Amino acid sequence: MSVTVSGPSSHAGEPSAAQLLEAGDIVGLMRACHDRRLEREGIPMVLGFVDERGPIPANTDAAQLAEGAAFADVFDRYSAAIVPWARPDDEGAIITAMQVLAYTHFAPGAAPVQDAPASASEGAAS
Amino acid sequence: MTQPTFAAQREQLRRGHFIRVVNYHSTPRGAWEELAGELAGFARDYASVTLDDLDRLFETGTWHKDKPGLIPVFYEGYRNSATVAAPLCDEFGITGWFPIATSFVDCDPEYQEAFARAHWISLVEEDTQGGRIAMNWDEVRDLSERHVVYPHTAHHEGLDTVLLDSDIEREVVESKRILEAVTGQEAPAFVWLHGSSYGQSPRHDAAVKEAGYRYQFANTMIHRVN
Repeated sequence: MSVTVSGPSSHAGEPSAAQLLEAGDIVGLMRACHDRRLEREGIPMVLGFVDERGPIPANTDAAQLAEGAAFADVFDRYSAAIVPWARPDDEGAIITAMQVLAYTHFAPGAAPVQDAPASASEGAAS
Repeated sequence: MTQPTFAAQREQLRRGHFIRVVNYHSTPRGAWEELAGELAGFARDYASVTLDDLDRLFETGTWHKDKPGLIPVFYEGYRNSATVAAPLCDEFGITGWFPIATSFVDCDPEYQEAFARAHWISLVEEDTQGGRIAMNWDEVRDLSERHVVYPHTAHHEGLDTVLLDSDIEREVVESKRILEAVTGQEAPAFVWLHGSSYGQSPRHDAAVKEAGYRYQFANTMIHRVN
């Protein structure tokens, strides 16, 4: 299952999400997704879902599970790169890491999640 | 109650319990082409999500369409949500989700710019050239026939500023009542300013649940409440 759309891309003259990811610039990705022009660009988000009344049945689609596992891995990497200081329940920090995930892997022009380099978080630490 | 934590978020992703959302705010006519291009790309690569689709996702735990689901959300109740965003959604066969600050719609157009500035509703130049900034109730009713319309509180408030019982009644309960009276159908969801999650204030959670909302949208997750 593709996690990328091709369409209008990053602002003219600015590096794309894929280019920032290739460079391991997770802080740059965070800046780019916070720099979305609210009056003409959407803010991509990936949201979890939970039923407060009881358990949700297990997802039975292998592709969706694989994509979720890949998202979980990059969520951990981006969290370590940009919000290592956060409390486990710091909602703002969670949202920031999830926004980078969404901007990088499903916004228009984003990079396929399987292309995320394992060393991406290392570049952001500097 | 599920509080937002890194562990909860990771677990939801690993379970395949996630969905894509794109949050929009003012969608001015001057940016029509850019928005059209973005929505066209989403329409091509993702599947629209109706309220029934979301219900089914929660009932089964598995997304049921060939393409991944995508929920475009147009916040606040801007007039241009009805005159720009909704027509584009219609053109591309997308179900739009429209959280509306009901008192913004109710406000006399003469004072809507001041309302917006007083309540963290961002404006672009096109919004400040005179005339109505918010939707009117006819537009809300019309939208609700093809899209999903629900309260974003009455005054675009967060749970950190809605403190008294009377505040909660106005922002959580009355906003639902007003919207349902206009649309003649259930307002199925609620969202606080800042997208705060369910599970952080028992008093506010109880108000959302007792008001009868089916879902609370947050910036971390979607909670099924009733």
